[in-house]
Amino acid sequence: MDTTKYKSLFLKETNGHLTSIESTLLALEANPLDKASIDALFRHYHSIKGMSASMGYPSLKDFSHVQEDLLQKLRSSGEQVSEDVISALLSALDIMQEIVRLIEIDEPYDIDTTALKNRITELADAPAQKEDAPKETTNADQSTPLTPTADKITFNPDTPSGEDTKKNQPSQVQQHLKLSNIMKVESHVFDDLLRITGDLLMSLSSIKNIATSTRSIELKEGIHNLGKSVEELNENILSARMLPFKNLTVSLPRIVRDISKSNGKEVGFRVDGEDISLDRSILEGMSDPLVHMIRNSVDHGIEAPNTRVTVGKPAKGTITVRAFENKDRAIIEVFDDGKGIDVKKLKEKAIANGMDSDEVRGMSNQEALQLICKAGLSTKITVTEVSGRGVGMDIVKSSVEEIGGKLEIESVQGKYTKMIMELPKTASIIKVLLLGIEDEVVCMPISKITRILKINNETLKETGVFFNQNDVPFLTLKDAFGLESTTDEDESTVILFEEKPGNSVLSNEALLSAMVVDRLIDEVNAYIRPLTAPFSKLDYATGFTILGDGRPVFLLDLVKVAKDAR
Amino acid sequence: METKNILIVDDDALIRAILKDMVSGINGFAVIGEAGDGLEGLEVSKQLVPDIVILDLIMPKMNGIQMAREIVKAGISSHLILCSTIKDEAMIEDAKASGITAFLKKPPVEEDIVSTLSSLL
Repeated sequence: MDTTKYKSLFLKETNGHLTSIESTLLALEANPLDKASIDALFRHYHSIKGMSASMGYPSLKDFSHVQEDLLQKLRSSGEQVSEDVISALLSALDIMQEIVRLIEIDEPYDIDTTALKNRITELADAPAQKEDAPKETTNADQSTPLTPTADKITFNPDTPSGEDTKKNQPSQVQQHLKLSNIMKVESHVFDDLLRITGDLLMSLSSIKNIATSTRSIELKEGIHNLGKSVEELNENILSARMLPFKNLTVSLPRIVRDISKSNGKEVGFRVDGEDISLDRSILEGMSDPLVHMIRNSVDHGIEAPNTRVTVGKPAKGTITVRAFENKDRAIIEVFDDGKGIDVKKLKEKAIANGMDSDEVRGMSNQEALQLICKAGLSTKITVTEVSGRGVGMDIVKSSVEEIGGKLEIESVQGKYTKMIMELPKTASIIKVLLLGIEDEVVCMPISKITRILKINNETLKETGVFFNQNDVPFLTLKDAFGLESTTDEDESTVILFEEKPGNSVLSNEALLSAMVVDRLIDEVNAYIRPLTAPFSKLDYATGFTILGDGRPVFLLDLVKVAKDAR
Repeated sequence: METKNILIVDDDALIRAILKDMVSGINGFAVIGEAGDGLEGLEVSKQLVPDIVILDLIMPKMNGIQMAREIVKAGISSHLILCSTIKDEAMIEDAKASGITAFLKKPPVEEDIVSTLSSLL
């Protein structure tokens, strides 16, 4: 039988079973007598066995067979399912996932499963729960990568759930060929599409410029229509790139379980709001920071069970990941009810590390907490006694910033720690205004602009920027960039904008600030790309874009401008 | 010769697809429906009253033997063929007692299907 035409169905079904196996095993661990979970697991293994036999994957068939046998034993014995069994089945699950991944990419899946098979057979043959059964060292793989489960984005314009809707209705004998309306596409195709629309938008703005000098109404109309189509195309591509946050969170319970098991913590884990959708690249970029934060919460946040009881907390700690939307941004919080961060100690460390002691002492608790993201401070404070490999929060912070996000920390010592990530929901193509400062060109999002004023240089010197009967703090970008003034204009261009003067994620206090530039150049749609080293440390820049003529232009860090204006 | 109508009941879409392709290639038989679990299989059997039901043993909600019993109880006279990996004696006895008249091994092989179905013509 030629099985190639069934392969995608096999992969879809099997991956579904594997995902259910993972969540069911974790549910069974929490409730080891749950017969419904045992029955469901048995059916999942049985299905995988049957399907891999049909497809001609004998090693996967044999491997799932021993697991099915073990479940069959558990079904008939009615015993409590031991931790050993769960651990062995979770290890086996990892291997099955790998085998299926290799099948998907047509690689040989020559994985030696003998030892684990023997172990599982032993567990099946063992009489009721052995207390002294040798503990398997399925030492939690500390480097479990968390990637959006779909390496491919399933683009399905009709049925949002992607479910096989035919399943429930008896189908008539098919007399015509029918193609599925779900397409699987490699995710890089969407990256290319995004880049190309970005370039398209830039070219369009160049053409628009050229067209300003033409009298041809037809040409202007044509360009206008072209512009509308390109923007529509862009919006469609952006929404096709979105994946639910759930793609990441589905693997988290397992990670929490493995880490907490390996260092003797008891942790309850919950995710709220996993239905919100984000651009795949944002999900990919946040996955490492998210895992690091959760690992830090288990390692350093949640106390050992007996310690928790002594301080009047339940033995079992709680970690909650909460996701919600705030306008065009997504907020992802990682909360743990552990021991919190010792601000006093953190301040001492900062001073010992050479930070200005007056500055540090003058910091509010909230400000001081952000110190944990400074290189050299976090690792020393957060290094775990158990694993000895705390993750530097400085790295977490810069990873979040690399995808256009911000990170903030809230903590009350003895009570809780909350890490808050604020991220863009979509890959960013935004309308920007190009600004000239001497020979430099930078850009800023149009949406931030409140007003643009022309102010006489003398007035500016004497009274500063005055707007709506208020003094507005301002920054002259020329000075901030350290450029010599060469213009002899009498007037300056002043841009008023609203932005939070500091990296606070949740405070909504955007304040009016102003900046002085030499000239306004143009308004364009720009695909903003993140800064990479060595530019990531550049002052006053948070990203860049490439203009139609190939010139790179930096996106102004308005938060920093607003801060320095004060 | 009149075409025999077949219902396929299996919780795995892959197995249903393979069975359907195999059966559709045999003259005189047509797949008129599919169901993904025993309960659904029973409901669809009542609606379509197929000549033949090919059913899986291990399925959610209602297993193949329970489903066969219910079909008989409902007075539906379809031929019931069990397609399963399990072949121990006790199960075969239970299956026969429930009204199942033929067995197919899993994974399904075309020749088996041809010979089993032909015997029902």
